Amino acid sequence: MNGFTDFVSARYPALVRYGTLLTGDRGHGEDLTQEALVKTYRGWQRLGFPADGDPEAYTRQVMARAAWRAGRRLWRREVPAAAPPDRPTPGDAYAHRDTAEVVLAALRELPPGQRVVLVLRYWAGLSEQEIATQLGCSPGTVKSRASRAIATMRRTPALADAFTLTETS
Amino acid sequence: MAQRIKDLLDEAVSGVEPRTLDPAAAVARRRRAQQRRRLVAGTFAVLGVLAGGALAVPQFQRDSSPPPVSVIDRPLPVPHFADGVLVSGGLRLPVPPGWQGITGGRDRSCADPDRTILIPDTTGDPENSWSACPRAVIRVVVEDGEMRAPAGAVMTDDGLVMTPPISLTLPGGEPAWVSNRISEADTSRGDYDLQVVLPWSRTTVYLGTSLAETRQILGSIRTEPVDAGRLIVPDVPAVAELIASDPADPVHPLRGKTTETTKLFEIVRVLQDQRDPVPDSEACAGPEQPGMRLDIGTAHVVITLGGKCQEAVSSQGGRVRFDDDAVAELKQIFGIER
Repeated sequence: MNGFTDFVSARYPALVRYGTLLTGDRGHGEDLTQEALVKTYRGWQRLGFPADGDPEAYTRQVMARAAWRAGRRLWRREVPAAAPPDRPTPGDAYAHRDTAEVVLAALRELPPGQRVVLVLRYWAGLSEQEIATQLGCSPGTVKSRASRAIATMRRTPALADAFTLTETS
Repeated sequence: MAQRIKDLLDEAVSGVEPRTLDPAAAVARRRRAQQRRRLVAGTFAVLGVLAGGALAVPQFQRDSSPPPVSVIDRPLPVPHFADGVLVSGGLRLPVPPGWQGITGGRDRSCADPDRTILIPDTTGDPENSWSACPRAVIRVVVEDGEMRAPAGAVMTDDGLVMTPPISLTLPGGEPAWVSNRISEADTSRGDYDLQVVLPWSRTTVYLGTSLAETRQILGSIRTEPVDAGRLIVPDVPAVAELIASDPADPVHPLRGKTTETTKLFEIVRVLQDQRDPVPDSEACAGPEQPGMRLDIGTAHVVITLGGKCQEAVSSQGGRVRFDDDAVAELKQIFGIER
């Protein structure tokens, strides 16, 4: 289809990274990306991509909604793990890799709804109202999910600073 | 300090590289697989009708004919409003007085989302699907996929395990699976969030109403379920998983999973041996009862346990009485008996 292959080839890595944030997992993130791209393919001509629309924005929205719906469907009443996984200590030789792992592990511990809101709010930079509109929920729900997500992330020692300062900003 | 969080999230995925070398081809394969699944489902529906006709005569000629197999391979429902009632499959949900019903993508007015029932247009452009009334407190969605009981997750030594299911029998007899025990609702924040899955109607109702309104709305629902019959499950599943409450540990459920062919055949046999259908008027599964979740291939079976109301319902159709021996046999096959 005109332009679809080029679009996928160019933007696939970035979309997989977005999917990884939305799910907290590389494999699930790539799976989410491919599912969303199937929908983008189906709508490619109808929505006039790429001339009359932004296929990447469309795909990202489909991904966010799918991740949000998955949360509503399956993982509504998460119970925190009794013993959190091991965390790296400050000053590790592989600090960069470990930070990435710590952040992803912390994201995985969030209920999907909180994780999606956190990513849209702080990574994509959307307002609470914009997120509410995109996910089909109330701004109050967005606010409470974001607040709980921040509180949970703060419990990870390596992330406590970043997520504590947020409350005062 | 939002920038610090963004930087951390950026760093978390900066080293993530796709596993797929040719993503466009992978997407095309996935799309073709979806088309094949739809085609196969349609073919089985036609074959089912033909087979039913062919088998009708021998059944009449036998004295001990087996109980009917439930047939719910109806087309995917199209939820709509008719005379002030929301209709979706067997579900009849009256729009309460003073409330409004809105169909997403068509009717754009949304004066009072706290008193609105929304049918989102999930088949069209996602940009527009929820825009009719994104904060409507009741949403009704038809699922074009496998119907599962809502679940939470509990961390165990084996990783995350889904919580056992919670059943509900709606007025009229249609089985439903709910996300919360209604009596245990948390209304401290002023709202209540409940998910009601009607597997036979392939419909899910999301309620963000207060507890009192939720009780009222659930009480007003009427259903016209398809006839109950033997459980429909795949004859040759590839995997089965059983999750059951652990009497010794109310927090952590028991889980068993198998891909062994002999065990899978045994599980199918146990399910198909249950030949006492529960009529709609006698269905009684309630949220106060413990439950077991049996995922077998593409079918999702919920077994409600306890006393005189021990029933099993398949997402693909059928509701039967499920005796203690069958429960024990299932647990034994999965190796989770206590």
